[in-house]
Amino acid sequence: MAEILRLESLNKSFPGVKVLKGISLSLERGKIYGLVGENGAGKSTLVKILMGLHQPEGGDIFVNGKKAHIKDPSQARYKYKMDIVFQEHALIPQLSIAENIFIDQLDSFYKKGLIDHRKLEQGAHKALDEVGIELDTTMPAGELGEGDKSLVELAKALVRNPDILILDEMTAPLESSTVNDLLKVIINLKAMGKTLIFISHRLEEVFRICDHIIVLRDGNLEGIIPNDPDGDHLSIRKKVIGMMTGMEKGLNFPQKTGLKSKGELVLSLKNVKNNWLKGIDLEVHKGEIVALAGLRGQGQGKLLRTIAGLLSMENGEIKISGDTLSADNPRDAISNGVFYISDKRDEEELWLTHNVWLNISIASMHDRTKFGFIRRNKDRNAVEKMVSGLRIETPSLAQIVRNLSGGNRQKVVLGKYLLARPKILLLDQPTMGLDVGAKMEIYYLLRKLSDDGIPTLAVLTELEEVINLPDRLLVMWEGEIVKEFFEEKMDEAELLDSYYG
Amino acid sequence: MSNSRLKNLLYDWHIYVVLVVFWIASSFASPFFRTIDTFSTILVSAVPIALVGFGQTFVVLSQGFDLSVGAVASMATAIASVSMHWGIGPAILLTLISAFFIGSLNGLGVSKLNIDSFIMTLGMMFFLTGVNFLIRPSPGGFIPSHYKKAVLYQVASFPLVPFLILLLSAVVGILVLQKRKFGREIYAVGGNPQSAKMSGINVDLVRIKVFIVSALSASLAGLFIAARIGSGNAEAGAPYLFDSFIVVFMGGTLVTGGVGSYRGTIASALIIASIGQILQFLGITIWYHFIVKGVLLAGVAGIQLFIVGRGRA
Repeated sequence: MAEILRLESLNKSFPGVKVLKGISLSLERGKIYGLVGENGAGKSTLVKILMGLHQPEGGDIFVNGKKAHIKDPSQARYKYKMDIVFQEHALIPQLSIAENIFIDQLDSFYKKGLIDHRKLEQGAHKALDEVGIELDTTMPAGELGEGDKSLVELAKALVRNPDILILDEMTAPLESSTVNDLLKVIINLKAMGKTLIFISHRLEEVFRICDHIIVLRDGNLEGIIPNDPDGDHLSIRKKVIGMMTGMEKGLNFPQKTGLKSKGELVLSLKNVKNNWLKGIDLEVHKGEIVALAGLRGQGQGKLLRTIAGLLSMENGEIKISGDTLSADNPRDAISNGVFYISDKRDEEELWLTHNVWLNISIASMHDRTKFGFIRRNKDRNAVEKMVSGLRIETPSLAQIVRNLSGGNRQKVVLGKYLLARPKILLLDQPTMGLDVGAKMEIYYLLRKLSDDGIPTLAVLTELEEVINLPDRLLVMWEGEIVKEFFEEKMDEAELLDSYYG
Repeated sequence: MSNSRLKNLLYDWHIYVVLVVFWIASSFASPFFRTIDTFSTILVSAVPIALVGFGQTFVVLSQGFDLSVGAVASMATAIASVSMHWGIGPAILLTLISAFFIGSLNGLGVSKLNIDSFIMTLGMMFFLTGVNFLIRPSPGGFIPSHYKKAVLYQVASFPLVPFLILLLSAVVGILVLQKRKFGREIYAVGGNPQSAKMSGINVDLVRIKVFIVSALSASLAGLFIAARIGSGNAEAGAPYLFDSFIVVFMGGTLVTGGVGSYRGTIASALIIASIGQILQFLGITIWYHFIVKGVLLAGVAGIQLFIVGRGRA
């Protein structure tokens, strides 16, 4: 079998976290490879390196047996014949579909020095034919629906005739009927001798089309598992999930202490409705960790933001310890002790270029003032107590937050709100982008907080934490809560099935 | 014709409706406005506005600002006034080479050193203002009369050459932006720089090129101004900085980049030139011109967002 791509101990780190830890693998021509792993496992970084958008810190890439230095996307495309359809759409909304398809080769359509739009439209129609759709190619790409966008991107990649094609979460925004058509197109590409790397969170799709499944976890290659697309997927599914989540390795999560004892009611929602939510009822009691799970973008994050007053509400009622919160008013939520922690930690929660002291003190500074002036010693003592209580690893309070690791940054965020004496914490993907050790620390911290009377409502995405952390789990689907779990030990299969509504 | 097409058409051409309505209203307001002389004056004063707006359109479309266009135009008058005694050709060449150099510096600073274009070109503006005073400490110098005549050439009191300059800039501006790879890449970079990079566009090179275009077109504006005032002046181009932005934004180019056209810019240049005329005929003092322009800029930009929403490339 002819090898087309080989990676040898590829390394990459970003400030505070190692993303790829010596990845070595070899791909054969004319196969479909599934690339799976949880958020932050390193999938995106790996494909961005292949496309020349990141440079590796160590290790080599060989394309067709020759060592490759991939500087930028056009080199990846034209010199090494690799292309990608990205999860984040790379179409330029203002330009027409035809212009988008041929964006970096518009000069090949010149007639007397000007772009011949008729020829361009013809070329675009032919390209769209390959993926089996017909569109008005003069239409701005921004007006396309999600499904068509993905197919136009695929057509755009195919006109450059790549040997290796990476499909990064291409099916994520698509409906199942469109997915079926797309999978047929992909299998057809394999028959034409192309090598495909297929990334998807929907494992079912991966099992249906892939010859091999590459599993990444925390920047390590866990294994490459052969798969028979027509065979039985049950046992292989179990194996892949085990490798993805590391559950085979048996990590020690904190005890679910809030399972039975229902404490005092802290948060209650009745029939909360808006653009994204279709009538949500839920309750959170003292001592509990409650998680929201499901496929991405089913309204979990929107629900937290609605409770926090960041999104408007058309209908319904939110009560905190019996008091009704006024809708659309984040200040009211905060003064009632409801604190929302965004998943965009660096952008929305931290002042990265400022020090630990300021970042922790800022939300509750007015508690430590006299005649409007900050009482410096009192402020320092409060922050210091937080730093040692949460075990934030920092040389001093003067350390700039940018220099801290992801886990310590998250602890700084927690410290900021804990000083403001919350009644409940709303956390959106609190462990995103953290490595295992840091994740564990956050889990134990949340457990301790809920034991001490500050319950948590958190959006969780990784299967491992979804199963092992919360006392209660609410699965969302298209803006509704469709299933509730409250067992010590959840059934994985039942859980995953509930994700699909 | 679908609703969105109609909307786009309206977005593309509404500024011309504004122009015609303005001309008709002005003709009623003042009988002087209805003369060929007035029309000629409007055409001539629209030329430098359109030319600085030309490059500014390119820069704003690519998600940038060029604050140095006024200073570059002044520089062109200064260089012309000290070099035209060697001959017109060499003087023009020298001016264009200097502008090319300045545009490249702006572009390199913005793309390679990642300096914000606002800051880079603000620095360039101050730097050039100083240089301009070194070259031409007080207004004056030598601009040959046959150069002035040629640039402002009239046939039966119709300013033929200024009209041709406007026409040529329109043809070049529209064709390059709509029908050349470079033009389409500007929209791509301004629309979404990250996508443009992923799509294999050399984003840095596009940025450098738009600043070169801007400096070159500003220097052409300066060469035209030199012919009009018949001398060099280290500050003659300064008022055109504001004009370059007002015509770009009035013409429908979005401040966030990626959407707009030169077609809109040139119509706005005619509107701005006409406003100067009508206010003068109505005997309104000069400082009201600034007030009117300021209100117009905010007003038109607001109205077009309200009525037609965001347009397209």
